[in-house]
Order: sequence, then structure tokens, then C-alpha cells
Amino acid sequence: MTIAIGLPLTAHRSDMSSTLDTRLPQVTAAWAEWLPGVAGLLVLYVPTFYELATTLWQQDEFAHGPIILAVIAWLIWDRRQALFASPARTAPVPGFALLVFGLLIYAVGRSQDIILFEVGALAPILAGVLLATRGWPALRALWFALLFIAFLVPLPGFFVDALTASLKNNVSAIAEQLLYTASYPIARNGVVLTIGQYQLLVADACSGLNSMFSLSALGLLYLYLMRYKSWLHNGLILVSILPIAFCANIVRVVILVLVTYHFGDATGQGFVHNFAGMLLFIIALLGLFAFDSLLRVAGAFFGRGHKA
Amino acid sequence: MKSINQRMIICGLLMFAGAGLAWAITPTQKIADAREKADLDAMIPRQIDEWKIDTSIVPIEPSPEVKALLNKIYNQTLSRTYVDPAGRRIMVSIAYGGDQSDSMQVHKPEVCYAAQGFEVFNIVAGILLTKYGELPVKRLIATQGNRNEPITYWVVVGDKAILSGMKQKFAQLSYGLTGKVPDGFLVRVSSIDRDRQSAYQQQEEFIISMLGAMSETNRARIAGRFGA
Repeated sequence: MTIAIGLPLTAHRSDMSSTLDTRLPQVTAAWAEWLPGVAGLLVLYVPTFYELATTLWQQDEFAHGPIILAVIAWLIWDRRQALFASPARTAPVPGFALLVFGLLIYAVGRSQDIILFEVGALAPILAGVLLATRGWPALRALWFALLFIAFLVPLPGFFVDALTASLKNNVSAIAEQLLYTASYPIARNGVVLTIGQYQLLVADACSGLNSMFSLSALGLLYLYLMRYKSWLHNGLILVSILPIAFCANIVRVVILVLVTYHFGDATGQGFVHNFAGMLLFIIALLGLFAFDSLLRVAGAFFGRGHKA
Repeated sequence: MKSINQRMIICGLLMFAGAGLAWAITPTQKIADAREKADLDAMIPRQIDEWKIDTSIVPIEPSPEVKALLNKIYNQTLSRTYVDPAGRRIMVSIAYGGDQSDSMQVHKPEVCYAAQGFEVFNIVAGILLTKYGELPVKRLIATQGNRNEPITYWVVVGDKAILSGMKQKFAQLSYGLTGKVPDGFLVRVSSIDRDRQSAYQQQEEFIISMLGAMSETNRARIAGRFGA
């Protein structure tokens, strides 16, 4: 009996080790193949990201940068098979064209201090290398990681200025209306809210623009991971991300005003720095999940009705 | 498989070349270093026609924290208020940036006033006619409570006055691609006045007087070389 059991076991084990033995050199060979590409990327982007980490990413508005970078790295890692698969057909012409185009954009961006170009060039550079060495299937497998690079790029200044100003005004106006309706002694002058004895300035950070940016990134990532088949479902969630972020920001500002009014300026200011941003995120994410569940329930309901 | 390996090596080499290209075309030559050091306090006359310096009002400036971040060697600011015999006051604020223009950004009235809780609106581009040439200016209004402050300002990149915004970035680029880092001025003139039109009119007259009271070299730096 023991022999009978032992035999297949040892047979199985030798089987395993033989597959391991053949796989291991292949994997290392595949990694080695990527060495020149990885070295090139490091030379291009280690200085860039080091500078970003010591300057831009230090500011609250761009603090999401390293997280986005980590997410991109993870997205690529998640699809690493595509990097090592032996290609049936590659696309060297569009690949090298994209790569050179990306490198030119990079060179202009890096030398002229246009971060938009410098960081944005990462997408065509990666896409070019993938096409030239692995072909279209690899690009398709990694499309989302490449798209996500868009969130690594700081929004252009004029765009931010224009949006921030109008968002701030809208947020202050709506917050004033809400609190006035709730019969609080509130008045507004531009972006300065006066409640009771306190005066609150709705600062740039309160425009909610940054939260809209990071929530868009999170929302897209969520959709990507959920892999809903329905275009309608995906589309509705996409469209709802920004309004949800906007409403969450209004809730934040209103809570901030109320905390200041009821508990004093010091508590209000402490609250701003410690908790309000986090709260906004939690509210917005809960809103997004709630909307998603609603859609799923509705989908199940109508889907069943359709079948019957 | 071998051709794939070769291709990857070409990709790597191309990327090294890209990094080298970026390094090679990075501008290093600061125009500011080739020029006489700007001394704003001395450049702007203390008396302009019948306008004299008044120390009772200080123009709006970026917050101290923001100012502390600016590079001390390459940046300078000057804030003054002038008063005429009729008691009308005009505030002048000039920012000079010798390296890439961080200080141009933070001193932009749209940014600087908004950051202090002013509401900024009616931003329009215009042309100010001087006897030396046309000066492209932006006019806007900043209000806070009862304070209504019409503003006229312009930006000089290198030696040309330019509308701030995209055009300013392009001007920087045209210097940068030839290996030069331009210096720049931002000149802001404002008054506290309910009547926008008369305020703009008065500011225009003041600017023309100010340019007239300056030496030609200083004028070329503060307002750009006309016709350049």
C-alpha cells in the first residue's frame, strides 16, 4: 500500500521539479531581455520622479502623485505575462515611431520645465517599447496602466486657475444657501463666509478640485477592477464621479462652517487640517459605492424582467 | 527571439539618447547674469510728475510664506503707493524674477489677490498706448467687502512685454529652446476706486508718466523693448 501511494507521489514531485527547472531559466531570460528597456526608463525617469518627490509632491495638491505611480506599477505587474509572452507578431514601425515621438516630447518637457510633457511622454514611450518588442496584444493588455499615466500629469496651471475660481464661488454660494435655509446667521461676500462672529475664507484647497482629480482616478480604477460588462453601467458611474465629488466637497465645507460656529475657530482650524479632507474622501467613496450598488440592483431587476 | 532582443537594446539606446538630448538642450545661460543687476528701488523714480511716495497704504502682496519660498538671489519685489496733490492714490507693485518665473506666477494679480480672499473678475486684455509703442496689458477688478480695486498689469519676459498666460509660456519657450533662461518683470498698478473707467484712465496716465520719468534702459527693462 505504502509503495503504491509513494510511487505516484515521487513521480509527481520529479515532474514538478523538472517543470520548475525548465521554467526558471526562461523567466530569468525573459527578465534579462527587458534589461536595456528598464535601464533606459530608469535613466529617463528616476531624475524626474526624484525631483517631483522633493518639490511638487510635497504640496498637498499633488500628494496623490506617489500613490498614482504605485498604482501604475501595480497595474503593470498585474499584467506582467504580457511583458514576457513571446510575440507572434510585433509592430516595429509604429512602435519605434511612438517611442521616438515620446522621447522628443520628453526632451522638450524635461529641458524646458514643462512637467505636462515630461511626465506625459511616459505613455508613448512605454507604448512604443511594447509595440516594438511585444506587439499589439501586449499594448492591449496594458492599456489601462498607460491611461492611468494621465493622472500622474499635473493639470496645466491655467486650467486649474479657471476651474478653482469657479468651483470656489459655487461651493461658497451653495454652502451659504444651505446654511441660510437652515436659519443660521450666515452671509457671503465673494468667497468669504461670515457666520456669527467668525469669518471663513473658502481657500483654493476648498474648491474640491484636487478631490475631484483623485476621485476620478479612484473611480476609474474601481471600474477597471470590477470589470462590468454593461456599457450603460460603466458610463453612468463615470458620469457620476464628478458630481459626487462636488457634493461631497459641499458637505465638507458646510461641516467645517458648522464646527467653527459651534465649537470655535481653533477647533475648526484643527478640523480642517486633520479630518476634513479624509471625511470628504469617505463621503465621496461611500456615495460612489452606493450609486454602484443601486445600479447593480436595478440591473438585476431589469435584467430578470428582460429574460422573462 | 534574437531580433526581439536586439530591438529591446535599440529601445534602451534610444531612451539613453532621449535623456542625453534633454540634458543637451536644457537652457543654462541666465539672461539675468549677463545684465546689470536689477535694483527696483533705484529704477523707479521716487517722484513721477506730481506724484509722490505715500507710506500710509501698502499694496497687497503674496503671503509671507509664499514670499519666503522665492529664490532670494534672483527675485525682488517693490511695493509703493504714490499720491498726487489732489490726494488721489495709486499703488505700484513690481516683481522681478531672474530665473524661471516662479515669482511671476505668485505675483500675478489673479493669483495673489484671490489668495487673500479677494474676488477677482472682469479680466480683460487691452492695449495701452504710450508714446514709445503699444503695451499689452491685462485689466481686472479685485473686490473684498467695500474695497473695490481696479488693476492694470503687464508682464515682461526677457525684453518683450507679453500678455500673461499661454503667450508668456511660449515666450519662455522661445528663449529656452535657444539655451537661455529669460528674466522677467511683472508690473501692477492699481487704485481703490468705485469707478472702474476713471480708475483705469488714471492708471493709464500714471503709467505713461512713470515710463516717461525713467531712463531709456530702465524703461526697456520694465516695459520691454518696444517694437522688439
